[in-house]
Amino acid sequence: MIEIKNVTKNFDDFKAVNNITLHIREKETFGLVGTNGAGKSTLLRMIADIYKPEQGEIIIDGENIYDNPTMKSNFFFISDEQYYPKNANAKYLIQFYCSYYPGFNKKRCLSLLENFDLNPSKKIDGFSKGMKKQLFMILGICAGTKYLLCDETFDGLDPVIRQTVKSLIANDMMERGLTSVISSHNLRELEDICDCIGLLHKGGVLLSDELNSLKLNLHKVQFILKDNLTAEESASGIPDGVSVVYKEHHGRLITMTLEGNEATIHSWFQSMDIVFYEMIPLTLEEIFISKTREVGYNVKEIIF
Amino acid sequence: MLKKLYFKHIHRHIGTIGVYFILYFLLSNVSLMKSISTYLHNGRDISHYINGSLIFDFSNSLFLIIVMLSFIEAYRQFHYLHERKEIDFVYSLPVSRNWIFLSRYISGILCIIIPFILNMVIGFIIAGVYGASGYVMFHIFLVTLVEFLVFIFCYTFCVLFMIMTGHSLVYWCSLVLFNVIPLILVQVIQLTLISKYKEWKLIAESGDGNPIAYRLLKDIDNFSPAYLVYHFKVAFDSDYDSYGYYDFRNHFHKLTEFIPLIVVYTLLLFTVIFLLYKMIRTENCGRVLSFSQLQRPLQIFFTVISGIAIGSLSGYQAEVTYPISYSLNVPFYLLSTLLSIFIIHSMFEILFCGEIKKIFRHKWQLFICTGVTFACSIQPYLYYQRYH
Repeated sequence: MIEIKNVTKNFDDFKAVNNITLHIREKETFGLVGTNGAGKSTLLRMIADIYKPEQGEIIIDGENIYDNPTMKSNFFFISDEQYYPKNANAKYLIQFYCSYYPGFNKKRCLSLLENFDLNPSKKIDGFSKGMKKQLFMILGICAGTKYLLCDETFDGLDPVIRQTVKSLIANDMMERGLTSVISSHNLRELEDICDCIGLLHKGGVLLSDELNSLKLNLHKVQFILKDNLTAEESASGIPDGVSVVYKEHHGRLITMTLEGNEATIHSWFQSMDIVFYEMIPLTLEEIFISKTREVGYNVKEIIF
Repeated sequence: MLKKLYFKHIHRHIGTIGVYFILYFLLSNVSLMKSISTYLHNGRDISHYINGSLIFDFSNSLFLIIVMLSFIEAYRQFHYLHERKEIDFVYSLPVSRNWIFLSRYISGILCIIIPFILNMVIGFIIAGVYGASGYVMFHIFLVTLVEFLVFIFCYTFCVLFMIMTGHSLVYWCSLVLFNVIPLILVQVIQLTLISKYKEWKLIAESGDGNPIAYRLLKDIDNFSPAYLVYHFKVAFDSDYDSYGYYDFRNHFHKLTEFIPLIVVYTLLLFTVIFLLYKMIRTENCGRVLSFSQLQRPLQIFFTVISGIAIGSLSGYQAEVTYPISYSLNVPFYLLSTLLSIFIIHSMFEILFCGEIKKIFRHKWQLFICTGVTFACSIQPYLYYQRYH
């Protein structure tokens, strides 16, 4: 398990990560999402022991990670822009990582490289950006570590490769209990693979919960008013345990994002005097937009 | 761990070791063979030449190459401290940071020791072929050892610069600033002032009442690798007589004094760099300095030193140009000193902030630097006034 306890990180006067507490359970895929500059990469780098937190601690399997090579052999970090030695090819990297990660599966790695149509003898400099990401993803999965940390790895992969990588991660999760922490702006992809989501904004955590729980608690409802009702009248009498996160109206069509129990919301709308209502499942992207809108981060605030 | 960190990837260093070997070979054994062949061509007794003069000795070009290699090797080994992608890669590996530092440091030394040893063996062979005595063989070994120690000292010093700076360009500029400029300025000031004023020479030689300007530059000079190498070379050169022979006993005595000194100095320096390495914040990679607390002190230090040096020199130049009237020195001296203070101080502000409009960000600091600079650099002219 990865425990992030009250971690803070400053870059001079700027607080990149502000008192974050998160728990990442074993054998799950944790999606780290957030606005630009929220502190996702900084947090991942602290977990990977690249940055030292100003306050707090990061504990992996009961031990503090800072300068702890034994614990560090349990994870593999894939950066958004991965470094490789000059003139190196995939074969060299395989040999390199074999010496640091005893569980590295060389045979599987070469097989995957062949499946992904990546020449192991070709210099990495000759690969495109997407191919380099594929290569490091394969190396990370084949390292045989307990944890896999990915910083914006899906971004830059084509749809077919994205599906393939997701399948590989899911397969390793089932077979050997791999735990992955993936940060990405591609929420559509994360939605398919993640069990839990952590949403960061301006260095803090807006929410951290299982994806299913999030979807159970947040609902998008569209309804059409009768001629004789105003939007305010129709939205009166909100039941206990339900709150309006966001409301928008176009004439008689009202769209609301509500937080609360689904059954309660259903019964509320059934009791209302409206023409029609429909409950639409929220995507992760819509959850993201709703939650960040609550703290004032939305399109209208930025542009106008 | 060391084996995993270095030896498994030694094939990546073979090219570098090869280049160093060829360079060292050309400057040591090839030039040696050239002087031997010249001697043989003149029909003289070669074994007398080899046993009587110190042809297996330090050469200027070789010393210069040793210093240059230390600059390059420190950069090669610790380059990852200046590259964000590389530092992410290195620090995410399951290796202790202490081991990373030690393996890189030792790697740099091993890249040099192999060419040194190979060339020393070739030197033994050449000396043996031409009838050199055991004394000369021992001298070859001692010279190689001293050159190696000089390399380690310079290399350790350069590693300090790599750790202190966060950007490769800043590393190279600071090496030049710290090594070349004080060395040149001390020599220039010494030569110009001493040649002009006989009284100055007496003061400088006695060490009593040396102007602060000169003393400050000498103090910086003392800590730079270039100073050590230059003055060491000068000290040993002076042992030659007009026939090109020298007193071996005196030579060995100097060498044996020098070796413990350089070993102690290097060990102290190594301790400092190891402690500083542990204090580095990874996020400062790519910045001008790894330790942002040093920005202000360094800015003040270099502004004052440069102002003193340029002020002293410009005042002298003014006097050479206008020997008739002393009063014409003052405006020239004032203007050049003020200009140098402003330019150096502003350069550092731009370097640290990246914006030209912030050059007056620390006005009080600029005023203080100006005051200190004038107080130090006016001293030589007060001495002049005293003696005239």
